[in-house]
Formats: sequence, C-alpha cells, structure tokens
Amino acid sequence: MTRNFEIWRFILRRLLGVLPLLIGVGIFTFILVRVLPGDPAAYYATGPLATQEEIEQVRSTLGLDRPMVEQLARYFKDIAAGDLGHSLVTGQLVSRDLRERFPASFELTFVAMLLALSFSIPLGIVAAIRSGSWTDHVIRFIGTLGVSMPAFVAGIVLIFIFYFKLGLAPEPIDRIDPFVLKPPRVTGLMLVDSAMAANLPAFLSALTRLFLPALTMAVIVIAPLMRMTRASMIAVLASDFIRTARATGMGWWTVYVRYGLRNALLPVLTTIGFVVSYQLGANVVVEKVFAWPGVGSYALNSLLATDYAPVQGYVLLMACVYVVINTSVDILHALVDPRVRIE
Amino acid sequence: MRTRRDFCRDLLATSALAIGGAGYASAQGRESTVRIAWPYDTASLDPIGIGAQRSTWSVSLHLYDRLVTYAAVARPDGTRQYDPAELRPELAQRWEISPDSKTITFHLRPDAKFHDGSPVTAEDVRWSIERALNVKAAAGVMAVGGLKSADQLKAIDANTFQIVLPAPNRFAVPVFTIPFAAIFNSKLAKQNVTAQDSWASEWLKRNAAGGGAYKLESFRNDQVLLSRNESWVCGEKPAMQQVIFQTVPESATRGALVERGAADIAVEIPPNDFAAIQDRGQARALAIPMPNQMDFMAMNSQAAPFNDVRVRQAIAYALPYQQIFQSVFRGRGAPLFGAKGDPQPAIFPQPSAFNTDPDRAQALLKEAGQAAGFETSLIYSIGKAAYFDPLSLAVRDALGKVGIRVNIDRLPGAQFDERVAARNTQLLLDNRVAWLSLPDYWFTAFYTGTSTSNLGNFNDAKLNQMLKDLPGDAPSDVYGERTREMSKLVLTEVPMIPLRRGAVEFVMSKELSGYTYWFHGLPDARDLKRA
Repeated sequence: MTRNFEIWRFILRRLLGVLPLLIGVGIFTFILVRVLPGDPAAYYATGPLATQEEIEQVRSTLGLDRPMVEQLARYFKDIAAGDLGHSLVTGQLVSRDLRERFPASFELTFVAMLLALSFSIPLGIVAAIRSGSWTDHVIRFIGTLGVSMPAFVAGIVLIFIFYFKLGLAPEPIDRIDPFVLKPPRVTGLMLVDSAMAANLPAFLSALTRLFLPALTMAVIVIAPLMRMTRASMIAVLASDFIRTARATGMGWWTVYVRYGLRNALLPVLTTIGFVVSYQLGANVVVEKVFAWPGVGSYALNSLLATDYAPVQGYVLLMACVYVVINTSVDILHALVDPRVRIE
Repeated sequence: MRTRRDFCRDLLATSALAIGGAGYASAQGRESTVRIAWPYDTASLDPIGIGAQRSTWSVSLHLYDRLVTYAAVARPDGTRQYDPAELRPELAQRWEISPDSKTITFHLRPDAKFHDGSPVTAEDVRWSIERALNVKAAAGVMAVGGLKSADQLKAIDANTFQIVLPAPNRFAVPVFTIPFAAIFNSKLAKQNVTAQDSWASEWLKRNAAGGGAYKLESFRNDQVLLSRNESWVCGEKPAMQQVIFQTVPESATRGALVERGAADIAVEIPPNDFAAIQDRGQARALAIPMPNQMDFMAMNSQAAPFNDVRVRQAIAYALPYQQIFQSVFRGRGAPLFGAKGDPQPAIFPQPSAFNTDPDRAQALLKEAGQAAGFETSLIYSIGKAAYFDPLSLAVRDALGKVGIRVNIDRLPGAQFDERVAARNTQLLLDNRVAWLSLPDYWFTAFYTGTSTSNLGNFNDAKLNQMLKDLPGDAPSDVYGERTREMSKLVLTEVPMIPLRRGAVEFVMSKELSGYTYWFHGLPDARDLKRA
C-alpha cells in the first residue's frame, strides 16, 4: 500500500514539475520560430501576380501583423483551453493533426525498439560471455557498422534491396496499402486497430510496411544497446554471486539470464530510455524516406513552410514525451532492482 | 501482367473473406486506379487562398469544373499537349461574344450537377467568380481578363451567365480555364460561411463543393483519394475509376514506385534519376517541352550595379549558354539564346540575341565603369536545387572570368520568397510557368508592376506605354508587330536573361496512355487510360 502510494506521489510530483518546463519550452519555441528567417506571408501569397498588398492581406489573415506579445498571449490562452493553435496552411487544429499522426510515429518507434532489443540484448549477452573471442569481435563490428550508417542511407539501401531488387517488401510508402480496406480508427495504431477489427489483410499490410522503416531505425540503435548490455554483463559476470551460481552447477538460463541479466539491466534500461526518446524525435529522416505519416515529417514540413503553430506543438509534445519516458524509466528501475528506492 | 505480389494480395484478400466474413466494402482495384506520386503535401483543397499550391491546383482540377478548357493535340511521343489557340467547352456548353467584344454570355450545360446532386446554376458561377475577385491571390489574375468587380458579373437565368468588360480583352474567355476560375457549389459553401469567413475559405480547405469529374473520397495532406463522378457531363467520361495522389518525398523512391508498378506517374524526377530510369527502360521517362515556361536569371534592374543596362548586357554576354543548356539542362526543352535577326512576332518566351562572348562582356563592363568587376550575390530556392545547383556554379565560374565575384546563397522557399517580396535581391535564378501564355501577359506580369513575378524589378516607361496602347482586340498583324517590338525591348534591356524553355519531366508506367501537358504543367487524371 505505502509502496504504491509512494510511486503515485512520485509520479504526481514529477508531472507537476513539468509545468514550468513546458511553459519555458513554449515561450522559447514561440520566439525561436519567429526569429528564424523566412516570411510566412510572402510564402503563402501564392498568386502568380502577388503584390505587396496581397502579402499584407495574407499577413493580417494569419494574424501575424499583431504585436508579438499579443500573439504570445493568444497562444497561451489557446493552450490553456487545450488547443495548440491552428496550422497556417491547413487551417486544422494542431492538436488534431498531432493526435492523428503521433500514433504512426509511436507505432514505428515501438516496433523498431522491439526489433532492436530482440537483437541487441541476446547479442550483448553472447558478446559478454565470449568476451575477447572472435564472436565478440564480429558482433561488435556488425553493431558499429549499423551505427555508422546514416538513417537515410540505411533506409534507401534497404528499399533498394528489398523493394526494388528483390521485390520482397511492399512499396515503401505510407502505413497501409491503399487498396486494402482500412480498419476503423480506435487507437490509431494500425496493427492494434486491424487486429481489433479482425481485418487480416490490413494487419499484414501494416506489418509488412512497418518492417523496413522499423529495421532502418533499429539498425542505428542496436550498437549502443548491445554495447551497454555487453559492458554491464561483463561487470556482473565477474561478480561473486555469479561465480557461486556457476559453482553450484546451475543451468545457463539461471546463471546468465535470471541472475546475470537482471542485475545488468539497470544501465541498459537507462540507455533504452535515452534511445526511445531520441528515436521519437530523430525519426524525421526515416519518416521522410518512407513517406511515413508521422509527427516528425509533419514538424519538418511545417518548419520549412514557416508554419509556426505545428512546430511549437511538436516541440511541446516531444517535451511531454521525454518526461513520460524518463519517469517510466525511473519507475522501472525501482521495479527491476529492489535496491533502488524512489527518493 | 500478374506479378507474384498480385497473387499474394489476391490470396490475402480471399483468406480475409474466409476469416473475416462479410463487412469489407470492396475497394477499387489497382487496374482501374491511377496513382500519382509527387513530393508535395496537399495542404488545402481550395484553389484560391492561403495554402494553395501546385498540388492543390492539380487536385482541384479534378474536383471542380471550369467554364471552358483547351483542346489538346497529339505529340510525336504519344502524349498530347494543350492548344492555347483553341478553347473548348467544359461547364459552359457555348458562349457568345457581343459585336463590341465587351459582353460575353456563357450558356451552361443544363444537365450539369454538383456532387451532391443539385444542378449547377449561373448563380453558382457568379458566386464562384465573385469569390475569386475577393481573394487577392486570384484577383490579380482575374483582372488580366478584365474582371475587377462583382458588378461585371450577372446571372441572367438559371443557365446563362454574363460578364461585361470595360474594354475588349483577349484574355476574357481564356481566364475561365485557370484553376482560380473553379466553379463551386455556392449553396453548399454558403452553409459553411462564418462571421469571420464570408467566403467559406476555412471549410473549403478541407472539403470539396464541386461538380468535377472526380469526387473526394478521402483527404490527408499526404494522400488524396478521388473516385469517378459517374454523372459527369462536362467532358468525355474519364477511364480511371479512382485517383490517388500520394506524397513521396524521396525522388528515388518515386521513380522506383513507377518502375515496380506500384504507382503510374511520378513527377519532379531529378536529372540523374531520370537518366537512370531511361537506361533501365522499365518505365517511360518523358520530357515534354513546355511552351509557356522559362528558366532565367533575373537581375535587380533598379539597384546598382544592375541599373546600368551595360552591366546587364555584359552579364548576358558572359554566360556559357551552350554549356548550360547541354550539361545543366541535359539538352531538354528549347534554348533561349543566340537568335539571329529580329524577334518573332506574337510569341514569348523566345530566344534572345545573346551569345557567349566574354570579350564583349569585359568591354561593356569597362564602358560602364566596372572594369575592376564587383562582388554580388546569387540566390535561388532549395526546392529548385536539382537544376540550379549546377547552374549557379556555371554562372559563378563564367562571371568570375569577367571579374564579377558571385556568392551563391541557396535559400529555403520561405526565405527566398521573403527576399523577392522585399525586392532587395541582386542576381537570382528561377523559372516560371504562365497559365495565360500570351506575350503581353508575360510582359505585364514579368516585366512591369510590383508583383512578385517581376523578378527583374523592371520598370520601363516605354514598355509600360506600349502595353497600355495595345488594344484588347488588336487584329493579329497589329498584335504580332507590337509584341515583336516589346520582345525586342525586354530582350535587349535584359532584366531577366532567358536561358531555356523547360520541359516537364516525369516517369510514367508503360501501360498508361493519354497523358496531356496542360498549361499548369500538372498531371490530369481525366485524360489517362490504361492499355
């Protein structure tokens, strides 16, 4: 009971602590996007014969002719009402756009992480057990290869091989085949929604389309996760309790996974936290290469189009995501290792 | 041809029916669908207003009808091209021009209906054109056709729409072909008018209220799905039942999609990918020369040192035209340099008389007191980098040889537009397409006034007077002679140095036929057929 209570109090305090952070981030990005060069009014005056008069008309339609303080005040008033403002271009609510697109980014990152973990942890363990051997070197070499390849190169190479040459992968655009009936939107996660609707073609289409972009993202983070697992495992394997466990003739599963891995997991968890939050933000490139309708490509397009509100909304969303992930990592620490107490 | 993927898809579809049972509406098949891959996002569906750009205009051509369109003529490569000399009916069955050329009466098709089933009336047309006159972006172009105020528009009866012009105007009917002249369902649009938004602009961004050949099925910024309007009467019924506009940012992927049969048309294919696709021969890489486009380098003719015509001409003599045309533009399109004799009548863009002549360039610079050369900047938009990256380097090298030091500045679109609007550029590279491509339109739009199209910031009293004196109903010999003089003027004063008339480059599946080059340069699925 008290343990539960402590955790809740901890979460609550964490979340309250976030508020000033978000306000700071909000003001900072608000000013930043406006200081950046590029005039949205000139950009959106798309008439072939646009005059200064037309540009000014666009400016006042967009509300950009008001003083910046007034714009900022209106922006925060909107946020307080749970509204991140409107996109200049589409006229859509930014919160709606983000809600529509975030699940795509989340699903991609989640699957990429699963993929990365299912490779990196076993490989890390093997490399630690056989540390110094050629197996270790090969594993580390492969990991380094992945991390040293920029995401867009990896993505294009994978598309070239699996789609263009071998024809194994479906076309590398979007989340689902447009000729397959889409499942009704419940969670926004294509796999979950199609499974819930028992729509097998949609599920398979979504799964196969996820594979290449997820693999591209996984390739980049396998190395850090594997190296962390390896380093941490080596330290644990050298400790007394492992020696004792080995000496008493326990099986490899008990020695390496139950006792070894669990004790080695703490730094790995921290790394996972980093990696996930990094990936959610950094998959802009992967989303571009695979025409993935996520928040990253949305924010980049908006930035290039000097569409302020979506950029601000994206930064705020990412700030929230970081906080949630960090908080969950802290909680997981306590669950994985009883020695870690919150506080 | 059936591929393994088709087989798998069919297998999956069948198993799905077996597992899931009923409840799957049948989506249209791939065969009857045309899929267009482009790099643009479609931010809005409203051709007039904020957020409208190439993708919007392309989609809007399918959703909305205009009163008139152009005929198309066959090209040697099997594609077709619009014919600016021959107007064809679209929503208007026919039209009459009064003897004094000041009143034009359009007779609408009595059986035309909007997507919601309501008939298209002259009042809808009147409302739509009035709306265009009230949005600055469109109003500027509508004014070219002599339309400036709503008083000029009249719905005579349900099927008769009339415009009254202050003076005869050769653009009066052609202006009704452009995307800005789309006809909206005014009853539907008016239901979505708000206090701040009297023209339903916010609503029309996300919703369609048209009667065009295709209906809106679903709309995301990166995927627009249209399905055929079975009761369309304003033209030949399109062959394709469904159209998908898919955003694919990566150009290599766009090309690959067509080669693998997942898409039918991919646009904005950079030269390297274009050549590779041509070599592989799995899809057709096509380059259709555009009669109404120009690639150019503009000089700010009101700022030193470019306010001296000798400096502008020196630069025009310094450029390596042939090298630019062959290696930058890969010999596609048509060269716009090295003309012999006087300019041609009634045609623009047309070649200038300039050739590469560095000695002449240096002599002119000396005459202008710039023998020591000077330092200047050259800007262009990142969006056009595929050609302008190598072009800017060629320009820098060539001008360097006559002592002009060029700093290249490649700017994001919004920054480029900001600089153009502020009129503080020096040299810039750009290209433009004219929807109403008659010579006097080019001169008015690109060589006069304060609009963002006047990229050379040109203001010449003589040209302005000549344009003013040109009657709107000039007979063709007068028109030819006068436009020849104007061409001569702008090609000698060179606020903009023409480089070439471009070609629209795209990749198309071998199965597809009927592609037509329209004045807007965008794919129009209404013409496409699958063999």
